[in-house]
Amino acid sequence: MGTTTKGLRYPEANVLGNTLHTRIKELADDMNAALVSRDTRFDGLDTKTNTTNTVLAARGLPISRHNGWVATSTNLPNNSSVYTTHLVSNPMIVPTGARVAVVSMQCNSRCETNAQMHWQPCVNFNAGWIGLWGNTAYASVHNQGQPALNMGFAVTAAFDVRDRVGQYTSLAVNAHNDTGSGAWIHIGYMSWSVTFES
Amino acid sequence: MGVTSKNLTYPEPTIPARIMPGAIQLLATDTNTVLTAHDTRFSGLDGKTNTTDSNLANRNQVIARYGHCAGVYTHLPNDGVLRTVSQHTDQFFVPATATRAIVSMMSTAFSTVNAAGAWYPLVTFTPGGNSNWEGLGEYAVHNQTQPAIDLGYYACAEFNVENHNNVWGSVAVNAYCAAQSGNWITCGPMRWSVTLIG
Repeated sequence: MGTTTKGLRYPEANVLGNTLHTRIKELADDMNAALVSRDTRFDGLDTKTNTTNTVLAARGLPISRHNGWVATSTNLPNNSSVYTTHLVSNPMIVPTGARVAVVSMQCNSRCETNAQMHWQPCVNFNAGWIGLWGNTAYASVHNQGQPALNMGFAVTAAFDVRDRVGQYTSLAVNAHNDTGSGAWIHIGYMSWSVTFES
Repeated sequence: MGVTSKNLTYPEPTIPARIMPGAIQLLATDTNTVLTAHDTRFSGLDGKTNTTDSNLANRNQVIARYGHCAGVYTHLPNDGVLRTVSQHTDQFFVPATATRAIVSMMSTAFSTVNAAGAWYPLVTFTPGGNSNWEGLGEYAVHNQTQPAIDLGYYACAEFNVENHNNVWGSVAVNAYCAAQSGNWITCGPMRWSVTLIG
């Protein structure tokens, strides 16, 4: 028996099979070509996903959403010390199947005189605090001596939570008010929203 | 001619080929079985993706996060002229496997008297920040003679970056203060965050 590269068997040309050998070989060659090169969808079949369309169709869908607001635990003395102004402990768990968490946080604040401060909104998937601003820990804001200027922040960022499924999730805001500021900074409520995606 | 369910033809047993049809049908049946049942990866091949497992493993995965806080170029004269208040060029890199970007931007602002205007937060995924700006939205503001009202904005939007892989991106804010306003608008720092997702 002859064998193609895909393991398709065909008879050798012997006395009994002289007439049909060519046609048999053509059939085997046709099929081999189909498996190897005719249809590019066959290429790299071993590395292609076996994940079904049903599963892939669900990729990136929101699984659960959580939100709330919390009062400040402190206003900010102008001493450059870093304080945790807001803390929301374990209000949610990363659900099964979650790949991404989209986190939004915001609050406003003001100072009755010249002031400069830094914010650090953070999220914790039970594996340490992570800043929402990416490659910088703090976001600074200055009211330029104008008490009417809102010194708050609002930010949205996404996080990889594939290895945090089942873990409690917390939110916090750290901040400091520069020593050079003219007074304490008054801080408003912190509002937050978290969406887990598949 | 005989025909399998996948339209594979094979000769009927004729006198000259009486001995061989069994072998021919064996080959056709083998092949048909491979195409229909042996390997489930053939099932529904027309509807399956050509994306590899390695690519799909990155689908909806957070790849990189960026963020910063930056000052403004200018405050806004009450002349109705649209100005670039803040621009930050080539601040984030779109990785090779990124499919979408979540962009959030915010600024605070105020005016000591009645003032109206609008903000246009922008992002571009073209290196150099010279072209192809895309808006996160238009944010009109009016303090209705209440100087304490924050005239800033907060915007969050998502962009398809499949055609902008391996390039640096930029953020900017355009704004104007209406000519009817009673004074300039004082702008606070512009804060932004970009999350790249596979």
